[in-house]
Amino acid sequence: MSATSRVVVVGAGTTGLAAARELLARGLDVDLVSLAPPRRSVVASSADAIAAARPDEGPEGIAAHFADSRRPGAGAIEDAALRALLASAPDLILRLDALGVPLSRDETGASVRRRGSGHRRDRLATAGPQTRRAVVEALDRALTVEARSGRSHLRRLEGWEVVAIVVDDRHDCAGVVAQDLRSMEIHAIAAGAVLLASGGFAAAWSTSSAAQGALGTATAAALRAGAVLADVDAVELAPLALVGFAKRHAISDALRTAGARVWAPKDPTDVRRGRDVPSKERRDLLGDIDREAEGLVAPAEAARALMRALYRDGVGVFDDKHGVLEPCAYIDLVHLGGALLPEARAEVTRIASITGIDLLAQPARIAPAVHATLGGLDVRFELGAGGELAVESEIHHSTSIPGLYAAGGAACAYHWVDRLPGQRLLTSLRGGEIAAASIALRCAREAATEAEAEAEAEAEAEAEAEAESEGSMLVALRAAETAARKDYGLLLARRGDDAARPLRDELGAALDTLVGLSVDPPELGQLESDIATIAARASATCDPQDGATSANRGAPAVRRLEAVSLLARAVTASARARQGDNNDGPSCKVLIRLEGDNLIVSREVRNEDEAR
Amino acid sequence: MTKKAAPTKPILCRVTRRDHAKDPPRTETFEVDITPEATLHQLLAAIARNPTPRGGIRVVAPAWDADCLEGSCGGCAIRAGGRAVLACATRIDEVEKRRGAIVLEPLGVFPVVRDLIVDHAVRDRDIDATSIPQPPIVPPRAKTTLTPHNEGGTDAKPDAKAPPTSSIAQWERMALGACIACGACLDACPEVRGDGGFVGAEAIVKNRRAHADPRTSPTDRGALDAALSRPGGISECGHAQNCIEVCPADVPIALALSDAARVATSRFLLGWLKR
Repeated sequence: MSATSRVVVVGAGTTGLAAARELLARGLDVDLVSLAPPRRSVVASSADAIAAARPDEGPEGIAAHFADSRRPGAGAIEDAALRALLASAPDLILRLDALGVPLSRDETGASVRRRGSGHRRDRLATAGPQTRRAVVEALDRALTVEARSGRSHLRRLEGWEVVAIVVDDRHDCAGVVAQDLRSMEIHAIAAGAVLLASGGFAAAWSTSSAAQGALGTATAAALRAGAVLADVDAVELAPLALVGFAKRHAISDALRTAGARVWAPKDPTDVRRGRDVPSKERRDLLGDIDREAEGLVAPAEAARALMRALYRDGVGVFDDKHGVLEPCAYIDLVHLGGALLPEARAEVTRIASITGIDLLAQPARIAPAVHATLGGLDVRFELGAGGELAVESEIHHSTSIPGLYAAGGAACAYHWVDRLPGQRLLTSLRGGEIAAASIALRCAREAATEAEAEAEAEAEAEAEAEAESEGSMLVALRAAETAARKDYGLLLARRGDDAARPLRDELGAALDTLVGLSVDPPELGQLESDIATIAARASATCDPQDGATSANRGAPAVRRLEAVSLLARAVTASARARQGDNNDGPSCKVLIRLEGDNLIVSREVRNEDEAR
Repeated sequence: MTKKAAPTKPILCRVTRRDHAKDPPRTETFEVDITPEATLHQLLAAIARNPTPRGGIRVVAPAWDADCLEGSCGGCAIRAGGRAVLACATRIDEVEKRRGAIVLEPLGVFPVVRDLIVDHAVRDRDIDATSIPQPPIVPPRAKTTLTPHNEGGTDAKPDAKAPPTSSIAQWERMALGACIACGACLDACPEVRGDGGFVGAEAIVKNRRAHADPRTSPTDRGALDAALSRPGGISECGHAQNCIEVCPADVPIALALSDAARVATSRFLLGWLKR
């Protein structure tokens, strides 16, 4: 059977599940390749609500949502895409509700929305800290049911890692090469289209609050295959993340909405415990900007204010044990006296169970953290006649490689700058669905062309050309498979003085200075060469330190380090290109592609009358 | 660097290891300079940085699973001091030492893949096979236009028509939904065995959660209730209550088990009366 009706979806999180379900419903076969089963992809803190205008608000509510979400400097296409995304949000809430996601309701059964920082209306629907889990479970079940209908075929490849994106000699995406992390076998998978729903790479930063696995291996593979990245230096910051643990634990926006205070002792040498500092000796760090905005400022703005205070103005909490001022502040809920909404209470319970800290009894130390990457694979959208987003188009969510699509955290699509609470789930779910619709259109067109070619088979040359194209796809896949097997063999045999863990720590610390999460000011030139050195060591002297023939953990870890250090190089190059920018903002899109081993940077101005 | 203001004794950690699924287990003991307030994940990470067992030469680092590091993915469940815990959310000083050492083993009920990594997929199949059904999918897929433009025109039922949910039922559903499928309850249960036996708390929780869902049809509710009485069902629960004690996600397992027992008993009595 021809591969045109088969789609590889990389990643089984919210984006991948939503996309796979849509693809199956549209009659395409899906290979869902993921590092872990869907339920293991869940990180509670990553998204605990979905933002959408309430149905009773009508179009005006959507306009208001857009006004809150829009950032200056966006181009016409981005605006149209964001508008369409927000317009489809109320419907998404209804559908999630119908799938059994227990989104908040009151006693009468009516849907309840809460306020979130940066939102000027109540529009967050939530199922508490477990919202993302509930969404993943509901979609996973729905996907199984969709597959049972028998219209199309779903194959789940769980515990597989994509190591290469294959492009044939016509520059079309032909499929992927993936490795089973249990048996360590490497196979090529042919596909008419590939969707990267593999998330971002926020775990590259040391000060990250993301899951360990968020390293962008598939994104790096796409970059190597010739795809273009956009704005990879843009990150979403969680303003409040508990420090002093294996990673920074991001705290839900629900606590800030509930009235949490963020403060630091006025005296930077104060050695008292947080709860013993009297209130007049506390410096409120977010109160002023919130009052000025007449509401809670968006998380990104809060994070920037905190970073200015902690890393520039010398505010912090004195660590008596080590005799240094730690760049962190306190989050404080003690004054609320335990009067909390159920959601906020659930978040307090969650934090207590993972860290042992009872936020209602004592203030806890926090600092901003890198929560997610906002840049990623550059994807395109098509505008309709009226300047709105085209209703359906095979261009939506397409990358620079024909047949390769990206959505969710892997793509730079709707939010290349500050993102509001609840927008992340919306972006990933709708992004996945829209990308799936585009892929279905592409596959249908390809199938039609193929059928046409077959019908005209008497024209011998045509048939030959067709056979040739099919052949070129297979040749490319086989070559990529052989190359990947050889690379893996070489990697296993590699010996050197470096190990993946310490190198990753070095890389993470270097990246921290770049986003301002460090007292050291970024010196981009130096940083660029530091990161290039780390990347070179990762791919030359980093020893897997593991020779196991099954369930090998060392070699994949080195491979991920190689991938993430390539992305880190792209991040620095991107930041450097933006540095010379006068308006230093989102109005300029920084694009990056790889030629040989060199990153080629180009800039594109986002303007109001942009048209493609 | 390892010497802090207050010198701490190194932590002794004994890890059960296997290179392959079928290998016999062996143990290795490591001495680690780390604060007892660190988590087991940090302990394993410290071992991985210098995997040299006491009095031996450097070995391949023990393999364990870790991803979210915040107790929500459920991937890092291991046995520490004989008790099933999440490595990322358990501090070293919370673990009961055995002969002065922190003992780390893989979960017992699942086949071992390597070292501390087990195969959870096998458990998923077992739950299917023991005829406690997966939560049913109730609503036929709402027909919606999946275009970026569907501002008003949607076929999905508006909220008002969705079945009303009492906030209690919603709370139950959310609380039962907190299950992270880590497998701790199965590991702790004396009645859950590889060869049949009780399906375990996780399956019962799933069952009751689906039952509490207002979208579940009466027919499906009946099927869920009936499944509880099948072989492997609630009657095989030995009331050891270990599951309740070990659950790292604080799922109200007691609620699910007692509800299941109540349902099974009333079904049994009804059947008996009808004879």
